[in-house]
Amino acid sequence: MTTQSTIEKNQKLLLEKKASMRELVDAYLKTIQKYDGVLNSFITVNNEISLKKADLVDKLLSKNDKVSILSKLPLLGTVVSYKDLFLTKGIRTTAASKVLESFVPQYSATVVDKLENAGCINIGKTNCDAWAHGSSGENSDYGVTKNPWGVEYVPGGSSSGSAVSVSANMCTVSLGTDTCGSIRLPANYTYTYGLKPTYGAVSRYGVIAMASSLDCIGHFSKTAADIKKVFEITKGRDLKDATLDEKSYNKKLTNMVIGVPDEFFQNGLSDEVSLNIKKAISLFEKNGVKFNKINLPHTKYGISVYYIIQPAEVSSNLSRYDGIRYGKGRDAFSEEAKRRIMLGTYVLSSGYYDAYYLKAMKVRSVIIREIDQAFKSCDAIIAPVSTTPPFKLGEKISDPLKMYLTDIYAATANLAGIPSLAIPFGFTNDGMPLGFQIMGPRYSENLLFHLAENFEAYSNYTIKNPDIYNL
Amino acid sequence: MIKIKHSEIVHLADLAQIKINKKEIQKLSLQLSKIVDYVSELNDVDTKNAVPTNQTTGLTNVTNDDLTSISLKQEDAVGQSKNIYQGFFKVPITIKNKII
Repeated sequence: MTTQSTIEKNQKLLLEKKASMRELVDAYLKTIQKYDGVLNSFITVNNEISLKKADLVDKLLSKNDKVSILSKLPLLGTVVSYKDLFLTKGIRTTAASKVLESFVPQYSATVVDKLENAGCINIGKTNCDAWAHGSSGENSDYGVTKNPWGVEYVPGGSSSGSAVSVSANMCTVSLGTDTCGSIRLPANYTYTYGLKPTYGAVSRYGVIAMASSLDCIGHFSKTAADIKKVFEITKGRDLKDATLDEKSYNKKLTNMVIGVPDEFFQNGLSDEVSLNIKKAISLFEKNGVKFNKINLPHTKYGISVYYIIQPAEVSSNLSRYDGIRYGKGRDAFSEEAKRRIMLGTYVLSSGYYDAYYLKAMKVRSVIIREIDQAFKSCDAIIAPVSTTPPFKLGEKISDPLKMYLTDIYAATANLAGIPSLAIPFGFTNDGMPLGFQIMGPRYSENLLFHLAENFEAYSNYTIKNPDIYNL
Repeated sequence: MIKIKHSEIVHLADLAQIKINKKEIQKLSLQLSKIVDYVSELNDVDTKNAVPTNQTTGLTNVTNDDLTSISLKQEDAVGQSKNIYQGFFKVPITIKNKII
């Protein structure tokens, strides 16, 4: 059987007894076996564990009716993969680094437990840039991940394997992390949806930290509905993470106005990306959504703020890896991690702290003020995810600064702690995926889901699968 | 352009406990200089009235009730280390002189 792309389709097959959970999991495992040799989106595949879990679900299915099984397991039938930054009890977790090559966690991340309790089956751990440091997936110590839409292109990073595993139907949904676009960029480059929630909406307990004032836990799927379904489970308080809050968005979802920031559509944005977003805007407009020009003059400094704050926090978070309690010693760090540790140590060191780190924290406040002000004249903001469509493997890897600038449009949402959803829409002349992101005020995820679901109707969205069978 | 000297790179590596070879010193000196030069554009921003942001939740002093719960067993807690002595982690010496 071929693997399905949505939670709803899997649930239908199970509830109508057209397939068992074991058959579904088996189909995903076979897809991985067949195509992941080329794509390299998984570091660890849970062959036996996932089938055992499937048998447990099948038992529950035989003992419960439709209503009671869905109330017990709202995500019944969902086969999930996790970026290899999520701790999974008894299953190796590497952060795609040789430092943690043989690390087997003693407990699972809160999000992993929540999803398992909701009926998800963990099919494996996905490849990524080591420690989530990268925008192309090329910084993994376990080999590069390839884009299923064109294997000579990068899938985007750092949650490269997560995006590819969803795009190529090797799982139904995948969990990733977004510190500066690490979910939205690979979603954009693989024709999948990618959510970066509000900072503080989803527990980070048990997820390997990169830059703690920016890191967010989000996910990938092929429909807006599935993004929403998974978020309903992952969000909410956790006593093990003191940075969480629960707030609701109470504005009415009618007569909406979306802001178009001038600064995001200027020099440096490729025509193909820009024209495609204009098409999206006109589809919204035809359906009564209004657009307003807005100005965010300080967002252009976002990437500079990010490349001070993030390495500073990286150097602190990675200082715990000393090879004493677990993992290998610090000699096992590869190039990009070393570069960021060194950069972070520099901006935090005496004599430079005020000039760089303190200054960056202040400019961050200026950007936040600007964003909060903007949401007084609009409900949401539309923006490109990246300056260009997917680029070729090897194109930016030797120039770190050039690679860093890939995420220039992603930084705003992380610095301001606001949610953003990457939405797939359109293709380049070469058949590579395009799309855009919609940002909203803090805790306005429901607004983003509403806009995305409406846009699916306006654009006659259909799930598109890469032609992996020709690989 | 800002220039981060080789001697500074060596000092930073020492602070960060990262071993780097001569070739890496040269490469890092060039790359970090280029990055730091770029991010220095922040000097153009007026931040006189800005308070530094270190997180965006606005939460302060989050506390939980002080309750006991089940924690990891000792063998699990130390189970990932190769250097264990009688159930404890073995660590490098940090104070070399004997204190009488």
